[in-house]
Amino acid sequence: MLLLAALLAVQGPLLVAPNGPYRSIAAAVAAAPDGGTVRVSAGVWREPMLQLDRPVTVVGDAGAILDGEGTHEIMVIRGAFVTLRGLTFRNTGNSYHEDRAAVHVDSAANCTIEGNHFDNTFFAIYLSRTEGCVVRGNVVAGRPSTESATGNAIHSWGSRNLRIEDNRVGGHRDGIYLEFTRHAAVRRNVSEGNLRYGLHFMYSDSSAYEANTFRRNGSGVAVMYSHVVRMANNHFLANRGATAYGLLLKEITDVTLLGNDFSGNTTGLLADGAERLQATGNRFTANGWAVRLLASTSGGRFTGNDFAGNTFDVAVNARTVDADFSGNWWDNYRGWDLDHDGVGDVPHHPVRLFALLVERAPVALMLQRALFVRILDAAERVVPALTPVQVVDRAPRVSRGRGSE
Amino acid sequence: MTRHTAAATALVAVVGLLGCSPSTPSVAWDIDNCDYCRMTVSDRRFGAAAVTNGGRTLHFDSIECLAAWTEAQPKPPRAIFIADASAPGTLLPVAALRFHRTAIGTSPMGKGFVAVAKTAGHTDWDGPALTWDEVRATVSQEGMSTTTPPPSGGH
Repeated sequence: MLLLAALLAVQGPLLVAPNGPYRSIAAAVAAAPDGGTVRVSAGVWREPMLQLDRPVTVVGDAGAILDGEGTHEIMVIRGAFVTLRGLTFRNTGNSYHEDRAAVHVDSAANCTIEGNHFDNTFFAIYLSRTEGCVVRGNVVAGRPSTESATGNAIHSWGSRNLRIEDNRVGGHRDGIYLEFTRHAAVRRNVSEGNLRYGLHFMYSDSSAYEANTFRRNGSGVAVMYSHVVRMANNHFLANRGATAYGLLLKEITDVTLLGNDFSGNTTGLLADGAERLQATGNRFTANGWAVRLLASTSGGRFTGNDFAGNTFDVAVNARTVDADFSGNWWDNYRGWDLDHDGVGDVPHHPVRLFALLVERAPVALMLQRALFVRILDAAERVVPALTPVQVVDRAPRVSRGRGSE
Repeated sequence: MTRHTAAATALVAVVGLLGCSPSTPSVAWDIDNCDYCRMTVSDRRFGAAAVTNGGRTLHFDSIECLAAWTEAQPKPPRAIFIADASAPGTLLPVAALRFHRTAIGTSPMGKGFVAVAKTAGHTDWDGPALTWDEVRATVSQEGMSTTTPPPSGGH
């Protein structure tokens, strides 16, 4: 072992440079011992697809660019313990017949893809049946076309124990997409300007999403058909399409939303078929609809959230909605706190009558600022007749919360 | 008078024909939301539309969503159109298509169903050909909320 280490130390990284010792990455990878390192010097490297099927580290000097010439995948990883660091991948070209990726990890464990750049790729990083991989600190810049001829920036299919951290992704169909993936930790990523979703996952249980920023994506973030989902301290910002939402929960059970920011979205949070949704300490600011709950949603609990500057705070599509609101702060609360215990003395009904009308007839939205709508709302607030009686905050806070603190 | 009668007859005939066979609906790609799963209809290889008996057009992001929706209806819709994966973005009537369950490409809901024009000959979409009835039966049997990967899919 020591001998091997000594040998490696003597040998150092295998250098790929125009004048050698290795003139192609493929040649250096073929010559590298298990656990060895290949160093790619600055320059544009155009090679056929590279296969990495045993433990090897490939690092790039500044300006080391691997170009797919618009025709092929650039690297396929099939061995364990492969590390890629400091490389720039570009120009995979598009394909309707394969999920073509700059870096494609297939049935491999413990890969590390760190600090790389991806420019004009169809899929940037595609993980298929992987275990224990880390994707960290990469920058992915797509060139979105209206043709939507683009894949996802970071894509995971059928993988386990995945960490996706500190990446910046944009310009793809979805920024981060997980399907049939379990035990993923998605943290501190910034995903913006993607054609469809900043984050999208389906059939992906037992995963955590923390401190990410999802901004100005075509449709926002969609979370579907999954169990046990924890989303904390994320920012869902400025998703403003006609049908966009900060966060869509569709057929989700046991979801915890903690200390997230929902700001400037057409709809902040849309729950359709969400069971046991627990929302605590979130901030809903300046959204069209802060929260829309469809009748298929049950067992929702909203406590200690702030609602400010939204056109509608809560909207429902039926009079019977199973959700419990308590201890939230509402900027349009019209009650008072005579005993100064921090809790309003009269309950707050967050569903405006007008919100109910708009839910049934969207064109009614044009009457939003009409005087008679305000009169209707005021009358309904005093004597609730049509709005859901269950959706009421019996202990509204009279001062703003401190988020998730 | 006869000319007017002829014109009126022609008009009635045209209207009648239109009523019998709805023209191909359009999909606002990247804007329309799936009427089954709410996802944005984006991938031109997999989108679909159904015209209900009431005349409404519904959009679907995937063949599996269309199949699941169809199975939940008391009677079949008036017409069904699905994207031809060999000519992305083009919708064809369901009768003009054959179906495969493919490992190439990830369908929006992950089940891997793809439709190709019957006239297209051999394509890269692999797997044995399925009928629309078989696709619906499979989706109905597997359900939409399984978290187990399908037998084929991914790479």
